[in-house]
Amino acid sequence: MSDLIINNLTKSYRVNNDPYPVLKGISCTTDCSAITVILGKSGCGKTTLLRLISGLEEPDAGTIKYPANINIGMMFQEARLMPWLTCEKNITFGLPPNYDKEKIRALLTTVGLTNFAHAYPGELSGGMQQRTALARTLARDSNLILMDEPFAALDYFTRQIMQKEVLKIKAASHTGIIFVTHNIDEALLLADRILILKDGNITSDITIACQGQRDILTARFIDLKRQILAALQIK
Amino acid sequence: MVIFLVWYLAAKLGLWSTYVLPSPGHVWDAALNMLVKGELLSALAISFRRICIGFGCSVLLAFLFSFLFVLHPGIRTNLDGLFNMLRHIPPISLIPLLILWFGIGETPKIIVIVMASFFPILLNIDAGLAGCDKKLLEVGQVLGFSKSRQLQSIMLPYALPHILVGMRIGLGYSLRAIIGAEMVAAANGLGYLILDSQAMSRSDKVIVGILFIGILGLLIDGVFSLVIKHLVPYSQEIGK
Ligand SMILES: Nc1ncnc2c1ncn2[C@@H]1O[C@H](COP(=O)(O)OP(=O)(O)O)[C@@H](O)[C@H]1O
Ligand SMILES: [Mg+2]
Repeated sequence: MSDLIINNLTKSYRVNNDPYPVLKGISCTTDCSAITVILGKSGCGKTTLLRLISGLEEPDAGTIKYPANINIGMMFQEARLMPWLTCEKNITFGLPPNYDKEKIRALLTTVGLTNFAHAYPGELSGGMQQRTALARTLARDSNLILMDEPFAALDYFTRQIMQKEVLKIKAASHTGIIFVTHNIDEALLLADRILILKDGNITSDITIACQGQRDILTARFIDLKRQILAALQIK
Repeated sequence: MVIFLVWYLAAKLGLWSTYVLPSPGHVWDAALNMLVKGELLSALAISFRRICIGFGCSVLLAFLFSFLFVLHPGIRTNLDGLFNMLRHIPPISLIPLLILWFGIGETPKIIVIVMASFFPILLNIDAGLAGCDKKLLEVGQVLGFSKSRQLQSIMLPYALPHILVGMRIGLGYSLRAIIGAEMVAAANGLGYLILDSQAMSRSDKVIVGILFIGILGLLIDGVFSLVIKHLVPYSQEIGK
């Protein structure tokens, strides 16, 4: 019932006037209350798939069936902040005027930007901009959040904090997340389920049942990592 | 400064008659005299008022049309040819016709200003809106924004620096146009003052008038760049 059903989705772009197929008939059903990670090498079509799900792009063929009352939020690969708005105003961008001020204050604390609430994007570092974008995505009550390599540009430590935050959000609100990454460790840390995208198709489907804190340095996760590397055919 | 010195020396040496080239002191006295009698300020006020009204109309019209162009692209296609032709007509050339239609009241002058400043403003607003970052528009799209909401919340603020530049150019054109119009068909204003002074062989007053046009231009432009600085604290940001 809270499933997103993707059926035989194909998409090609035109490159030099020739059709260039990116997605070649993807079908899958994802649980919209879990974290589904789409993992694949760069250029394999991860962004394209997310853009199709968000409705920013039309598929050539195939269908996407959304659960009832779906409210999709999206965090892009880049921060995409409005340069004329302060950090805080960016977070509340598009919210109705009677938004919950307390919630925004809490979000600012969460992403560690309380002291920069009134700074413009141009005055923020790349990581801070990305955190602002995360807060903007979380500020609205989406029940499915699409995240496109949101932490790829962050340093190791900030990335860890943000990843923990994603897990916390999911635990607290059962918001579904479709998380795109090319980082296997990140996938192992976050995913309830990992879908590997390769050559325009989903080639592996790995479910990770694991409650609570994960340690991806344990034998089980190292084993999973080997399995994924093999699936991606990286030696 | 150098110009001033050359002027002073040239006048002092009597290279030309004082009718052709009055000395700076002479012009200064004339300016003071005109200020005291109030003719300078009233001429200034009249021209300024015309600019404000004409420029205001231009801005309103330019916004109206550029919004229509964005929200209904069909309208743009229909008006493109007409606007492209009108754009090339020097506004002053309309004056005979305008006088015939509207008499010598304020209307022809306002129309001349509108003709002069509408197009640069429109073109800049339009270019600013069209140049909006697609990636930012997608942010709005994901939030479910309607076209007009996109326009209001993303395109307009994004284009603001562009829009202000267009308005600044338009304001400059307004000033030129109204002086021209006043020299051809008016009984008051700075342009008329200059022409009238010439008719009375008062070249000192002519120079005062010309200098005051420059000063008026500087003033308007100065105020405007202050407004721009105030409104666009992030201006370095856009267009990077
Ligand atoms: N708008 C576009 N026009 C043409 N080709 C595109 C476009 N967007 C993406 N592509 C191509 O489609 C492929 C998949 O892109 P993308 O989905 O962005 O990959 P990923 O996000 O996995 O790195 C790439 O080879 C890219 O060059
Ligand atoms: Mg991508």
